[in-house]
Amino acid sequence: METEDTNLFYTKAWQFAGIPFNLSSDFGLINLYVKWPDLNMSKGAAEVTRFDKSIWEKNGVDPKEALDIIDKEFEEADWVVGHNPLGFDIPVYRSWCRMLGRKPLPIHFKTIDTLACGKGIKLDFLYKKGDNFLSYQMKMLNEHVKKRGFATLSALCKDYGIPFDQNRLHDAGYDISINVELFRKMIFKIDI
Amino acid sequence: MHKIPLFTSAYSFRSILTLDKPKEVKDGGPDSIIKICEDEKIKDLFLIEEDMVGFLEAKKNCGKDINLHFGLRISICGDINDKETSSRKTESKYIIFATNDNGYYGLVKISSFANTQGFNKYPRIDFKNLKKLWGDGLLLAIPFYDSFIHRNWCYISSCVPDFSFCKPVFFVEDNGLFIDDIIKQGIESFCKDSDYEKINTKTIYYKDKEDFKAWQTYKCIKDESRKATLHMPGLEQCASDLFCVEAWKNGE
Repeated sequence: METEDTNLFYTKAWQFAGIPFNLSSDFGLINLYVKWPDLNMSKGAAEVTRFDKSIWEKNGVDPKEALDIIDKEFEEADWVVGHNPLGFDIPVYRSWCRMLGRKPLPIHFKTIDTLACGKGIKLDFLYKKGDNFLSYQMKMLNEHVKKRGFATLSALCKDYGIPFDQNRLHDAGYDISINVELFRKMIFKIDI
Repeated sequence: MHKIPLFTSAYSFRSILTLDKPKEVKDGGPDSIIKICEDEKIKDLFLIEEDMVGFLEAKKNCGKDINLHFGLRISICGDINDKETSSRKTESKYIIFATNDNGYYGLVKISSFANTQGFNKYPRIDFKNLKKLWGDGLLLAIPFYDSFIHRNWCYISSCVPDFSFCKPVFFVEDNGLFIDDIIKQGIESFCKDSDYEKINTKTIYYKDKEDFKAWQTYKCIKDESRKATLHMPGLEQCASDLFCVEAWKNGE
């Protein structure tokens, strides 16, 4: 998701991207621009995400309609994969539900966080089958590593030999496509 | 479901609530825990603080109408003599309640020890020394957040409790955060073969949901890096406005 800023309680997602996929195939790209009437982009977030107001205004859908689409995908998925969803996207999704008076789906129980898992693999702290997977991922996410950019999407793509365009990062549609490729390589080191 | 409200005052730098007498509360000013108890007819005030600073004011302002149950929230580590950074991974929070006058004196001794011999950037104690200071009138409670369960289930930690000298109670909460589910799983796992009492509680840092912004602003001001703003508060998993009296009243 791309958001106004990084305040987990107040921020609104203005773009959501997802790819239903399995290990061998993608099943289309879901790229939603979410048209909040009171969107308040921070200058920093607008710069980093290259927010284009005209595209957002032209293609934006109602937040309730967007949430209906997203929840349907979440319900049908066996797993929900992302880069740092446990640290960011899931709290933002839950805030989105709260703003619309809806109960969030408990997707945290079926989330695979490539930031958390990637960090664990790099720290040689591998997940052991049978342990609580959500707990393992939270531990990895919360483990502080001094080196900047240790397990960013771009750093892990370099580690796994996945080509990417630095200039296209922070567009949700592009990020999710390389995240899928990263997951397809990383999954063989995650014994779930 | 009935939940016991657990208040914290601004003395602990975690809340924006004061311990002012109700008649001292000004319109548009900070809310007072004592006034909230008066307005909501709360006869038993459970006040959890990081030190003993607010105890006398709370005791005085509760008067005869409110029964004060004071709890000291303290860091317990593996060994106070280990001053290495790695020793932080053995630390977690516990709450020690004073249940009578002897308990108050016990709390003062524990707090003094933690602030002197145990001090390592902040007050702490270990179980070896806590047992020496333990006595009549003290009750150990495991807070929901920052407990050994929270630390061991969400962080690479090695927090080892020692309950050989007492029987603790476990506080259980639900504030709409997904990490609440993880902590609850941890509590269920730890307590499954034991008869530890579990009590439903609600931690309270502000009065109404609309005060969440003021509370978050306060947290940003307190940020040591001095970089935090409301757009970028950098507050881990801070995505709930349910740590308030309003949510407690609504049963949320």
